[in-house]
Amino acid sequence: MHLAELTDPELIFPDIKGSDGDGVLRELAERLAALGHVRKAEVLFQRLREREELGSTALGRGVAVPHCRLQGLSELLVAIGVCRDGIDFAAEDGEPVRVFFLVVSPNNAAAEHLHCLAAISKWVKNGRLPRLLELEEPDEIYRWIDDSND
Amino acid sequence: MIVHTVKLTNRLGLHARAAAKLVHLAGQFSAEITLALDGESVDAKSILGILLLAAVQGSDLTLSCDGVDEDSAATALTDLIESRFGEPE
Repeated sequence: MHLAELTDPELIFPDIKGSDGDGVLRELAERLAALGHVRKAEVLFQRLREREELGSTALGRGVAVPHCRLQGLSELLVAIGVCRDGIDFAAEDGEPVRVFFLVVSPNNAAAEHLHCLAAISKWVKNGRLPRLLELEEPDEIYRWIDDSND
Repeated sequence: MIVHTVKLTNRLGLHARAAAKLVHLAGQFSAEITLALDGESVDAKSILGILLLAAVQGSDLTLSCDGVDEDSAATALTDLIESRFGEPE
């Protein structure tokens, strides 16, 4: 499974304004609802918050993977939010989070969810993130993700 | 070095929260600890590594511990995995 197959330029937000973790999650939820990918932003936000309360989804290296399951979703989606100033997201390595890979899965998609997290981890582990932070347009970011899959 | 196989039995597999627990526990030992699945071997002290495995329920993980505290590391990590990371199913 390749990261580029899981997202779309429409789901890439290079200008997230939130100044704290909740603000970022709320903004991402609202943007997905505005695009019609989820019905209610508040429901998605609350599910994401509940998950973070169990433990931060920050992976280190400035990346977090906030995620939840949502009823009624037809397929797994990955939205990418870039927060240039960095957000304290309780990462183990203490690094502020600049890129949020938001993963929303339908119910009963445990294996697909794991393969999605694996695709994100592989991409980050292969050192693809710094270049992403130099890009500003969703299309450019999507192209980089697509080109740098391996 | 201790090498043995542990079956992953929790319903959600090696998801992010389970992986975080495993990495946190592995980090308490000085032994080198790796987990392997389907020919891919990763550092059990790295969450990015663990998530790479995409290990689903029923996977047979190969746990390897090498170092002065390898016995206690192998026991603790096996217990964590076999107890389904404290998850109900």
